[in-house]
Amino acid sequence: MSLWVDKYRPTDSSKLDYHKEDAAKLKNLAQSDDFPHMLVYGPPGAGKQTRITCLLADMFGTGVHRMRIHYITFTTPSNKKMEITTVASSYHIEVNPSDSGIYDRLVVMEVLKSIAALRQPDDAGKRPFKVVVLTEVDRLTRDAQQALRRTMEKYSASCRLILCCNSISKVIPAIRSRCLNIRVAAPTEEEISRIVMNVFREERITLPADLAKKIAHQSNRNLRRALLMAEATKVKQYPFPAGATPVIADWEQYLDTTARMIAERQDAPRLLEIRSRLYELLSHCIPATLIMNGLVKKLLENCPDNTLKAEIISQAAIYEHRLQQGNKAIYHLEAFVAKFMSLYKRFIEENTMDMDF
Amino acid sequence: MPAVTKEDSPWDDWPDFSDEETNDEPVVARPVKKKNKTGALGLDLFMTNMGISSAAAAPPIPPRISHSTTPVERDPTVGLFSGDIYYPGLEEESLEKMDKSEHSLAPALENGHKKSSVARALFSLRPTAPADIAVPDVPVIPHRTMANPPAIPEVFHQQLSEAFEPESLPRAQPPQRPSGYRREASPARPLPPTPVTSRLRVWRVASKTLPQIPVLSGGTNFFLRLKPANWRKELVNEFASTTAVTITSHQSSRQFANLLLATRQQMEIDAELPVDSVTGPVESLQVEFKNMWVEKYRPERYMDLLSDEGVNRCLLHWLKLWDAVVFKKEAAFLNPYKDYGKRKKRDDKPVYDRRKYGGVSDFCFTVDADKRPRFKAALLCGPPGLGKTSLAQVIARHAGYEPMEINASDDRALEVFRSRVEATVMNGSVVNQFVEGGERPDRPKCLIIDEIDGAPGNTVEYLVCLLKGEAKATEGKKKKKIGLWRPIICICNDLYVPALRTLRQCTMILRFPSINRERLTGRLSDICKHLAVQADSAVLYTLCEKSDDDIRTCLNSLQFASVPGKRLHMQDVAKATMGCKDQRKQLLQIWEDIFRLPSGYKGSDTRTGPLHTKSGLSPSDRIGTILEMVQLGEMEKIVNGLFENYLLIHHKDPSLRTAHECADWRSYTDIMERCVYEDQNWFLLGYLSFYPVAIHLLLAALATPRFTFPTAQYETYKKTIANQEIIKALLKDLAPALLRTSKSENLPSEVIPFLTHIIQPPLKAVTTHLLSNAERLDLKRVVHLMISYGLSYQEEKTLTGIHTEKMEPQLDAIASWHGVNTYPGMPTTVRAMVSKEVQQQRINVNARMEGTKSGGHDGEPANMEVDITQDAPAPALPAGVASKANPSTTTRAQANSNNTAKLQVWSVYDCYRKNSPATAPKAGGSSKARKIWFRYKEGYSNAVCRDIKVKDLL
Repeated sequence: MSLWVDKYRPTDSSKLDYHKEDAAKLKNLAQSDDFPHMLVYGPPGAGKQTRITCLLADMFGTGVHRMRIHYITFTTPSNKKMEITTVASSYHIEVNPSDSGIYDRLVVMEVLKSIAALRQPDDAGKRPFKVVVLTEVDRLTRDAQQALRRTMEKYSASCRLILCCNSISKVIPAIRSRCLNIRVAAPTEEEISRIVMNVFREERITLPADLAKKIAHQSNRNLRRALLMAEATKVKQYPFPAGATPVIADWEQYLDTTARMIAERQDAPRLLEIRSRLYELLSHCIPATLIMNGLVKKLLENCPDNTLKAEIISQAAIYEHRLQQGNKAIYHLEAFVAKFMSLYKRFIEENTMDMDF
Repeated sequence: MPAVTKEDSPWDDWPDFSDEETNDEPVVARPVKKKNKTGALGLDLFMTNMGISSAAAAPPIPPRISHSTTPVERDPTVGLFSGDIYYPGLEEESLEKMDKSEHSLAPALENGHKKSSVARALFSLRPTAPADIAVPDVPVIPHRTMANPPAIPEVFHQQLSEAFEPESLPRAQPPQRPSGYRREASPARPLPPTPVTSRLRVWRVASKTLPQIPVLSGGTNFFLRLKPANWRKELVNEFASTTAVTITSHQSSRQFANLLLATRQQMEIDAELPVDSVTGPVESLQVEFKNMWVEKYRPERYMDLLSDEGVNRCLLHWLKLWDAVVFKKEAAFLNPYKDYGKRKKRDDKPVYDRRKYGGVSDFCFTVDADKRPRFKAALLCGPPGLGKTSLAQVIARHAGYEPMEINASDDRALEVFRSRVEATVMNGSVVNQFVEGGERPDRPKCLIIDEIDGAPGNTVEYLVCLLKGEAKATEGKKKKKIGLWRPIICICNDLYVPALRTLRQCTMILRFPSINRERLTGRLSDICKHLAVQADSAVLYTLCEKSDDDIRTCLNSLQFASVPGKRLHMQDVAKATMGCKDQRKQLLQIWEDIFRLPSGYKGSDTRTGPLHTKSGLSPSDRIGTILEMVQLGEMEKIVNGLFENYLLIHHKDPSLRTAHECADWRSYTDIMERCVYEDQNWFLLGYLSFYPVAIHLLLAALATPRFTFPTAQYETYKKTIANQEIIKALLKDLAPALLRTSKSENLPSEVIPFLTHIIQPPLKAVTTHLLSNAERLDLKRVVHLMISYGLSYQEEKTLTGIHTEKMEPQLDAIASWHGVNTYPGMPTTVRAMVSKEVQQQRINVNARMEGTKSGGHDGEPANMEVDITQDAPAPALPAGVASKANPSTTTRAQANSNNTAKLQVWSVYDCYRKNSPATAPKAGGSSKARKIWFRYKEGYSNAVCRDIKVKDLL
């Protein structure tokens, strides 16, 4: 028994709920003999992994779903033993090279080499290659990406790559051009609420339509989050009272409070408090971009003026960019908060002065 | 006649410029012996103080009185050397008068022979004076007439020697011997004349309190100081009163003076002993170093020490505490706080002043059962150049020890170190101070371990063992404990080196404060005077300032910059490279300097702009200082501290512009850091240090900043690591299907927050029978989810004895937030119930898995498969599944394998039994009482957890 997210995950492309045309195209591709390297990208919770699995199932049959955990060990140049966990079926292997930090280049090279070396026994007319799924490619270091581009070509006879990432802006163009890029857009809110309703129907639970909408809205167009939220809401509040609200993740509530505090008062001691809250969020392994997005969203809600809003959004963009460029998130988050405080305070002061005169 | 010995009074504060080995200097032997016998006490004292010899004591070159034989060409203008009156001023009648007074004059003056010796002595005051000293006609004012001949016995006071010190003679006074240990009898050589003009100084009256005899000789004055019979006592008093500036308590300083006298006596005793051969080569070695001023002017006597008085005293006191053990005599001065430590009331502050003793608590001056000091070693610490090594050496000699130094240049591997230490401090017999026949006794050794902060760790450990009295002797089967019977002085620069952590606890720690700058300046000017380098005290003061009162640096740079006879100018010293040390400042100091305007800054008024440009106050100067300071320091820590503290500093503008700019700078620097450290663009490294500069320019204020040591970043880091570990633990046990969708990135933000809600539904705390159907379904679901995610509850007892159930891995820690109340905390009783269910279910699942597995492998007779249960938790539910030793039991086993039915096990041992399957059931059937349970752990060879004897199986 598993969570609804996993329980109702489609297992082949005919069962996919949205982006059906794309699914059909992919299925066609899977039927054909040839198959290029692929780069699947899209926001989290859009169903990239699901689509990849469906594609693999179309190609190799249900044997793909029989997976086992496979450990790969390798030795770094500094004689350190590293072990990474991969999930493999007899047709494919899924690796998350960014788990091994700065040694990801080695992972890419070693894994691909070892897989390419083992040629598929081409009996039963199966395809003569294995598929390697690399996840979180955007977190690969530049080195690893450079290593990848050569390996992709070298071993293309015996293995195909499916790369999976959130954003291709961090993938070097050389790799992008070697792959068939497939964008998986996030489902719309209607699609999400429909899927949630379907799941509840399957579970034989009545769900008020407005609650489904609320969940879809709250989920930020992230289907995984929507389904988890729906399940949590069911556990907490079933039978649903009128006007029930979905369960919100605790860290989001924490972030809301933080945003409220920022809008409340702007001075150095408050900034200090905000910093400790940001530290708290970061230490709970919440990704910095999520924090940034959440903050901006909440802060904009409190924003009274449109020009100020535009200014804040442009500043947020600058600092989010810095977040990507920099090393430690806290500095950029704090710099953004300081910038917001300074902008906001000046705006408020100017306006009150206008009112005085 | 009062018994006057050759007693250098301890307040002889003259720096000891002993330089006997330098070629240019004439060397005269000193009469050290027989002084008590000749009786020429006063003059001898005087002369020895002048570093010249009296006639009685084998003068190397008796300067002849007559014109022709005088080695020096005399200048008639110089009164002293004019040759006619060499017994100047001491008229017969005054001598007689003095003679007749109730206190007798020194008998040396009574007969002619002695007189001439005195005259020679006086003459040889300037044996080196070149002939062409052009002393202009200095009007010499007689300070006193002989109107009041003294009525007190007299000794030439040594201050006379000071009075004779001319301000600017090219050759200073003849080398003065310390009352030390070495003597040499190298013949004096006449000095090649150096043409230097100079002026003669008008001598001043040495003391206003004691009567003096002015001696007139061709325009020159001498003074004889007369001393009363109890002069020593009076001197002690005088000393006590003069040093009252630094020493607050009159009584303690008198005690201290007594102590000094005692040690001085001891030193003299040592000095009288013949020089042993050991010091010979040492001395010849030193000749080479003597050219370095640092070596040349290394203090050799206690009073020459420049280091802080309190520290000096403290160390001396501590060393004298050893007297009881080492010399078997009662220490003259035990606990300096003895009289002060008692408080009358509870509220009273302790009266004693710790500052007098280097801030050391009185506990250090107590002794243990063996009469040894409580702390067996002293640890001197302080930045380089404060005279730590000199202090240790001088004090050790002063207290009658022979210093034995082990420093970083020696081999300090454990074995070498151990042998040296054992040779030094082992249970030695009491030293005999006075050996008949003039043999020099072995003086007790005092071990000085210099630069201990660089010593290898095991060496320090051994030392700590030694200090604690736990060290064992190396040789001998008995392993006798080594007693520590000699003092050890350790010296280090950095007290907080990890290697010294243990040592810190068992030593008396003496921190060296910085040196009094005035004293250092004074000493430097003395040295300059001595070497005829002209230097204003202002120049020297600047030098001291630049070198942060580092004596060594001062002397070295002075030697480097100075030319004898020339004036040292301010611009020489003000040069950027002079006397500056590249040294790291303390972190706190750096932060303070950054957050604070330089002293003397007069506000940001533009009208006073020119004023700022004067000395280090202009913005560019400030930038320069901050940059330099930061670049020498530990950049990362500095920057961290700034980031954590910049919001604590008062921000002047209310619109948060400065705060925002500071934050912006930090974020900008962070990007640069990434470029530097990850992309290896090292040429950007130099720009990282501009963040502190920016902070300084934006935030520096006149007020003393309040800041804290940065910890938040590290704490966050630790917390993040801990949480990441939790996530890793969670990922580890996941089924492959779950694993591929759970990434470490989305787990904490998406899955875990909801998962913790889902697995903690609002269940009632009742037993499972009483749950409704729906609730039972909920529970079942929770249990299944927990198993599939590898979660469990662990029983735990808090410190207060409250029973809790903790989720393992600790998702609670990640999912709960301070200040957010919606986190579902299930009551402990419910958790316990769930936990029980989870355990039971886990067993069932395993059993089922086993059942299917054994079903799959059916038909393999001798396959010794043993049940796999992972940690069967409850003894009530022993899990065991039969292996298939024979077909008949297999069926039974499979029939029962779906739950916890107790099964008889036919185990591995079956194969050791008969091959016939028929006997096996019989054995199993007959021994129903003896059931054997197996727990098989995969990967471990000791699979059987219970002892089984062979007879049990038969």
